[in-house]
Amino acid sequence: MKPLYIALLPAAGLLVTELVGAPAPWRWSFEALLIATAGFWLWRRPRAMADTGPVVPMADGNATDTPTAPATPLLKEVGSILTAESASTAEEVQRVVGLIHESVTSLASEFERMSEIAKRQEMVVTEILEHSSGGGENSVNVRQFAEDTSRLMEEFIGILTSVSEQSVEMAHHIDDMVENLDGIFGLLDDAKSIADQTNLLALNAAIEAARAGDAGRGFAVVADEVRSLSARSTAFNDRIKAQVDKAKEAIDHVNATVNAMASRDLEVTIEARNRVQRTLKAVEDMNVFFAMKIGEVSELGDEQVAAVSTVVRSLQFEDICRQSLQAAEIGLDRMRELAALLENASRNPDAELSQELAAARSRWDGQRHKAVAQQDMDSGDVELF
Amino acid sequence: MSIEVKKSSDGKELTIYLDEQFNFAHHKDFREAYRNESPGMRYRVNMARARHFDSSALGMLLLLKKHAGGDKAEVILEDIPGEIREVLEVANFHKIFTLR
Repeated sequence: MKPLYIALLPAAGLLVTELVGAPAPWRWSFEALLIATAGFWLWRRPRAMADTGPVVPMADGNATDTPTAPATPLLKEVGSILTAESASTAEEVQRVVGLIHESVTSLASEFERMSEIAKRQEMVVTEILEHSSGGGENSVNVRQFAEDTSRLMEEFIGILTSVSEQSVEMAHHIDDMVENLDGIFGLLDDAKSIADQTNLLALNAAIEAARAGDAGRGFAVVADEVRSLSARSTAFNDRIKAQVDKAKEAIDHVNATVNAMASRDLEVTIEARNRVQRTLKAVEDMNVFFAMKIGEVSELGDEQVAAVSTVVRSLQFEDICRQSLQAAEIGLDRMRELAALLENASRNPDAELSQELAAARSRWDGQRHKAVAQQDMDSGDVELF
Repeated sequence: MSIEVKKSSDGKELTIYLDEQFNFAHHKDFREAYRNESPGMRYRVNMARARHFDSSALGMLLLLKKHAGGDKAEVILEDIPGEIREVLEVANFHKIFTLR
C-alpha cells in the first residue's frame, strides 16, 4: 500500500497548487515538476529495492524474490496517470504560451501608445513654455503690458506735476498783476485828490470873481468852467476805478481756476500706481510659478518615457517564459516516454525496465546539461531577470 | 500757523519750514520766502510738520528749484513723513531733489 500512497502525494500536491491559485506560468511549471518528481520516485523505487534488498515490503509483502512482478498493475496505473496528466499539463502549457504571447503583444502595443502619448505631452509642454516666455509673435506679453502701464502712469504723474508747476507760476504772475492793479488804484486816488483840489480852487476863484463885481464877471465864467472840469475828472476817475474793480473780480475767477488746475489730489493716482505695481508683481510671480511647474511637468514626461521604455524592455520576459515552458514540455515528453516504458514493462514482465530507465536517464541528463549551458548564455541579454 | 523761514548765520543757507497743510493757498507765502533771495543761496525745505501734499505742493517745490538755479542747484528736502515720501517718490522727486 505504501508505494501507491506515496505515488498519490504528487497528485495531492497538484491539487493544493490548483486550490492556492498560484500565477499561471509558475503553477504549470510547478505541476510539471511535481509530476516529474512522482515519475522520478517511481523510477528510483525498483532500483532502491534492488540495492537494499527486502527493506521496504511491496504490496501484499511478498515482493522479495521478484521485485517487478507484483508491481505490474501499479506500473500500468502509474503509466496511464502519467500519460493523462502529462497530456493535460501539455495542453495547459500551450495555453499559457498562447496567453503570455497574446498579453505581451497587447501590453507592448499599449505601452508603445503610452510612450507616444508621453512624447506628445512633452511637445505640448515645450510649446507652452515657448509661448509663455514671449517667443511667439502673437503671444500676449503680460509683463510688457504691465510695464507699459507703469510707464504711462509715471508719465501721467509727470504731466500732473508739470501742470501744477505751471499753474502755480501762473498764480504768481497773477499776483504780480494784482499788485500792478493796486498801484493803479493808488494813482487813481492821487488823481482824485487833484480833482478835489481843483474844485476847491475853482470855488475860491468864483468867490473872488463875485467880490470884484462887474470887473470879475469874465473870471467867474472861467472859474465855473474849471469847476465842471474838475467834476468831469472825478467822474472819469470813478469810472476807471469801477473798470479796475471788474478786472480784479475777473482775476479772482482766474485765480480759482488756476487753483483747481494746480491742486490735484494725488491719493487716487498713487493708489492706481500701487495697484499696477502689485499686478506686475503678481504677474511676475505667476510667470515664475508657471515656468517652474511646466519644467516639472516636462521632467515628469521624461521620466514617464523612460519608465515606459523600461516596461517595454521588461516585456522580454516572454522569451524567458517561453524557454521555461519549452523545458517543461520537454519534461512532459519525458514523462510520456516514462509512461510508455512503464506500460511496456507492465505488459511484458521480462523487459529490462531498469536498463531502459538508465539509458533514458543518461540521455536526458546529457540534454539537460546542454540546456543549462544555453540558458546561462541567454541570461545576459535581459538584465531584469 | 504758516510757513516759517530761517537763514543760517553765514546767510548762505535758507531753511523753509512747512506747515501741516501745504497747498495752493500757501503759494504766495512760499514764494515770498525765497522770492528776494539772490542766486547762489542754498535751500532746505523742512517737512517735519507737513501732513498732506497735493500736486500744487509739488509745483511749488519745482518753482523753488527753478528759482535756486534749476538742474545745477541742490535743494534739500528733509524730515519727510512716510506718506509724503511716497508722494515724492511717485513723482520721481528723488531724481530732482535731495531727499533726507
